[in-house]
Amino acid sequence: MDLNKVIKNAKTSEIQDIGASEQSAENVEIQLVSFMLDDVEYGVDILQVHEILRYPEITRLPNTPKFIKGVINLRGNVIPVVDVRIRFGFPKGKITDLTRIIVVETSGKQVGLLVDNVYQVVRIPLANVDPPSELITGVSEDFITGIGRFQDRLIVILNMSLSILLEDSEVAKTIN
Amino acid sequence: MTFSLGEYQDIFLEEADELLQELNKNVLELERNPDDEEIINNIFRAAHSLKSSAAFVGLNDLSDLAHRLENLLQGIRDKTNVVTPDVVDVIFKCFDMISEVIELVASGVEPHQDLKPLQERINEVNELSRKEKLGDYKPERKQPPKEIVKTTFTSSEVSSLKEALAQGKDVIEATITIEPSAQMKWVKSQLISTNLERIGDILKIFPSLEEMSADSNINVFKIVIITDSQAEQVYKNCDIDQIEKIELRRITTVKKDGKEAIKLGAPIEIELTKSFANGNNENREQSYASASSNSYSFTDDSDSSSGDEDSDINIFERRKNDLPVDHDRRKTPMLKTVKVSIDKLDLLLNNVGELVIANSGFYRLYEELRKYSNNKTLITEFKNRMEQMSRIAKDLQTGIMKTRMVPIGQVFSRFNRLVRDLAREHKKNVELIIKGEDTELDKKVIDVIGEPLLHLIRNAVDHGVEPAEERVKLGKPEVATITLNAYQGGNQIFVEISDDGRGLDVDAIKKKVIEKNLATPEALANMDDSDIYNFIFIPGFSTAKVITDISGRGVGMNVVKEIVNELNGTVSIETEKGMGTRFILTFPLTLAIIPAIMVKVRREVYAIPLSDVIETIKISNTDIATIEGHEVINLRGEILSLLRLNEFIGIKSALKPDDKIPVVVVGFGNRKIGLIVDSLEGKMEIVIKSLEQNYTTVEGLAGASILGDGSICLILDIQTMINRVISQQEKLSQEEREKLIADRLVDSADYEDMEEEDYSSMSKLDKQFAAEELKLQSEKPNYISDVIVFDDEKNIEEEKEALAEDEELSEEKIQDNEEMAPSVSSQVSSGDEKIEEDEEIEEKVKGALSEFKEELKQNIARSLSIGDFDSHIGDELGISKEDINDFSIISNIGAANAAESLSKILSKRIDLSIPEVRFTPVEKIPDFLGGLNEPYIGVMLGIEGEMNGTLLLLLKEQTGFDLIDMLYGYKNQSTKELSEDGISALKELTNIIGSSILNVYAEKSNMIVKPNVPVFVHDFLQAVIDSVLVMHNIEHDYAVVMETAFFFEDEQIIGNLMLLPETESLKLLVKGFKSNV
Repeated sequence: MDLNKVIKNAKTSEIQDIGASEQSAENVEIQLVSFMLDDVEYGVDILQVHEILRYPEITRLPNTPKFIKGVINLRGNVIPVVDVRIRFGFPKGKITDLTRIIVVETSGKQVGLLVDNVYQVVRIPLANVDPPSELITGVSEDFITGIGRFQDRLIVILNMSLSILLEDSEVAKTIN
Repeated sequence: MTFSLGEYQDIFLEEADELLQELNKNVLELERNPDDEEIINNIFRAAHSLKSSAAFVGLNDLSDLAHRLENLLQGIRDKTNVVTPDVVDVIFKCFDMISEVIELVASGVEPHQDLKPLQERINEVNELSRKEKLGDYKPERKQPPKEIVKTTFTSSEVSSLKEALAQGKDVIEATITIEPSAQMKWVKSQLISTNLERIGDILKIFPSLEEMSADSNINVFKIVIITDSQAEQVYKNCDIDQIEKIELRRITTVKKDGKEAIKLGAPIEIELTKSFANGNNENREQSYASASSNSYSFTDDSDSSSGDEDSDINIFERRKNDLPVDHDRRKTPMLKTVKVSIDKLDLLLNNVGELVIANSGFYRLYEELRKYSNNKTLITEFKNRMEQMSRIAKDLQTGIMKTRMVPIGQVFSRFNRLVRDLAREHKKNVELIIKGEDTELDKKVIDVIGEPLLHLIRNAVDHGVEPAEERVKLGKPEVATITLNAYQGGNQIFVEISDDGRGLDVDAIKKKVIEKNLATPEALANMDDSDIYNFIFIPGFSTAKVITDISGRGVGMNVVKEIVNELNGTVSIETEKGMGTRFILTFPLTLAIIPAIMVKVRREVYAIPLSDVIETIKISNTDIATIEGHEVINLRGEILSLLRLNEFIGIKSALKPDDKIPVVVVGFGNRKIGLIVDSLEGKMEIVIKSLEQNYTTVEGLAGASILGDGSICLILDIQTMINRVISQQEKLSQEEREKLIADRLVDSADYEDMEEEDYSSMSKLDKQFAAEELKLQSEKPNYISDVIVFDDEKNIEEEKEALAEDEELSEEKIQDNEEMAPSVSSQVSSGDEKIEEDEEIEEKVKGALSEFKEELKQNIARSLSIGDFDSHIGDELGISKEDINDFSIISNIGAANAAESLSKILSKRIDLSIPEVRFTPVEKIPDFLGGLNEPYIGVMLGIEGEMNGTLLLLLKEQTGFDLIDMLYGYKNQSTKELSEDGISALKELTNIIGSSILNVYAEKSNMIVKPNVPVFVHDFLQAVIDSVLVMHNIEHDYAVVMETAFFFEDEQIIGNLMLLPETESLKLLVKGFKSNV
């Protein structure tokens, strides 16, 4: 499921056209795996999350952008790990007991996201998801799909598109 | 919008492909056995299925075509039509058409083939092949079985028969039917009788061996044997290759009317059980049986729409299933195969790898357990279980590795049809024999091996085997055989293609080699035949007199070699004139695992594929020299650029200054570099995993591998590393050139080392390849030419400066002659002189030049008055006109070699010739060329070894520009000034011509003659000549002026090649030629 599309559709109330989901936008819920980065809570669509790992041994990958922490061995698959802090332009973090790697699957590739912690799994009705806005601190809009309101918290929903994650694009350069 | 047949398209495509493969196979069979109803039925069935499924998806034209095909087959089945080659041809044509349609549909294009002509052709053939029309047409391969003579015995035979029976022995009559297609049937009967003699006495054979050898149509014969052995034994001894049927009857005597009469019993039923399987019946049951037990075929399902392999496998299994089980010649047990995608396999392999790694964790636990527990039995038990598990895991791992292996039979079987078609086209009689089809190769090899085999088979049919008449004349069997065989030996798989044809013609190859100037006759004479055969792998090499549509262009063998090399394989040739040729391709058993050398930088481990490693050495810091900011070492006289791996991967090295430095010398193509690492960790077999699968390609990395402890090591991509070193050097030399020029001069001794490559020790073939490599160099200048670029500029600047000063100062300053020579050389060669010294030297150079100029003027005046130069020179050097003639011939051989290399590199035909060679005093050169004040381009090539001097390519400025146009394929007159590219082109040109000519000189004179690096000068003629003399500081009393003509298409460009040797060297050279020619 492409979260981007769903959110867009929900907002333009065209969701009825999408065949299967006959319910109104109010009833559609999304689930997010959330993590904290400094003081902001971020969420990744749970449907894209493959698994969550403790900090494993990471092999540095030379001649790659800084935010590529390296590669790990996930049951015989070699997968890259993106240091989310560096990718989003935050200062380098420390590896602690809470450090996790969220393995997401996007466009048929598996990518690990190195995050400081994994906070929670939350359900948010689509109605509570707003489009990205300038309000949000820290992260460039390109990385964001939307902003979810959950209880009294705001969760920044991340865009998991492969190019955004892995490519050393202009976006990344302007941030860094 | 792509064309589609709707939801059933995929099913249809898959099915149609399978049906076609089956049809192809069966029709081939039909041609051999036109009366085999079973085959006709199979074909009929498949054509019918095709018709219905085509109609189902709406391909009505195709359905109609299949319908007509069916009609034709119907006729054959009902025996109203006869299987003629025309029939088979038209059937194949239909298949091809259907394939085309299917391919189009698969690629989403609406089929547009016009099937009408083919449909009409079917009708036509249908009519023509009617029995009544053909009258007594007999299919060519079918021989009418001879009437079998009834068993009769002479009286003596009868008595010995009776005697034997009285002794309680068995008398058995064996009626043996040999396959009609078998060659030399009498040999079979001979073999059988020899076999039978071992177990009993032969009473009678008829027809006799003589009769059988006289008439090749006899394929049934009888043997009566007296034996103690069982009937099974007799059967076994009769059951050899190519025997169709064996019938045994017991002969007994019965009392009849008071007389003893001989009675022939009923056929003995032979229990063909265990004893049968170990017999020599290889061609039949056994091979199928073994195929069924281990031929699991796996294919990558991603390319199922286009992949031949997929359908081949299906056919493999289907053919066997479809054939009737009880059909006596093709008894085939079910072949059970499963199609599995490579992805799934890789996944399994990954998991098993993990299992092995996880299991290794138990070893740590076990060690802990041993420390803390005293329970010996428990510990032992734990250890046993642990080891058992590890064994199972490893077995599982190898098992899955093996599933990547696919039997080669599916590739081989494709060629049945090809050979048939080719043979028919060339009116040759060829039989393809396939052996070892169960031999398994890595899927990767299977995927690409088809093409090299195709080339080799085409060659075999077209050039290898002789036409039938010629074969008969030579006493060979009329039907030529081409054999495809595959087998495993050690860690390698061998694939052979052999034919019993003409064999390679060494003399023809030699002739062509000389014709193409790939080697000299002398060099060829010293070569083994096997070396000579290898010439056929050179691109464009073909001894074929006529280029046919299938071969003769000289491309095929090169492709074969390239593809096989890509798979880390090799090609070798065995051949004997008149007997045949055998090509043997060798491949490693598996490509998934490669041996690698593990190296370490700090704590990071990297793998270097062993195939890229030339050697590993240890050096110390003092061995490292710096040229133009690049670190190099002198490795046995060769300058080797170094790359610090730690810098490449961006970390600090753990090496301390005093440590011995481990260097891995790696090579790609003809380039090599030394890789400095922190430590060498030994050799390991590693499994390659791609980084692209989840990430992307990373510069300098070929992939990753997971080590036994679960950690990842990265595999270095040597090719990009080498390229990067070269491009960095390029960049550096451009950026820092000026700074470097100001800083210091390059020690000319370094050049020598760089060009250390000893041409004379290289084999001819290597030279050929070396010439090819020059192409690479000219495309992307390597570090050698960079050095030169910088050096040239310096020289040109200097020359100009010198000339300017020279003109100003004219003839005023005269210096001591003795002092002049050494100072000039030191100016050029010693780079680290202080600036003050330089100024001093410059003064001297100026002096020397004005001196020279003065002398030149005098000399010109003198030589003009001399008149006949040749005789003058002849007296001085002891050279006769014949010698000059020899010199001219030898130089032209060199020019031809150079032309060949140039043509290859530029991929256009360039000819080079030296119409005239003149020996002349140096002073006379301007007379040949024109004014001293015309702008000229000169490229100098220093000569070293046992000969000293310079080879100079001298061109008028405009001629130089024209030549650049020619080399780059620009339009005429488009080069107006010298660019970097133009200079490098002319330098490469001189390099090639010079090396070629000097090589020939070296060969013909038995001297060591080596070219140095080319140096470029662009100036007035006078200055160009001056610079040559100054540069090399040699007293060039005489020059050999070779007018050199370049021909390209209609263009002709004339330049001058000059040999400016030391007088002594010139004498030696001419003497050398004299004694060797």
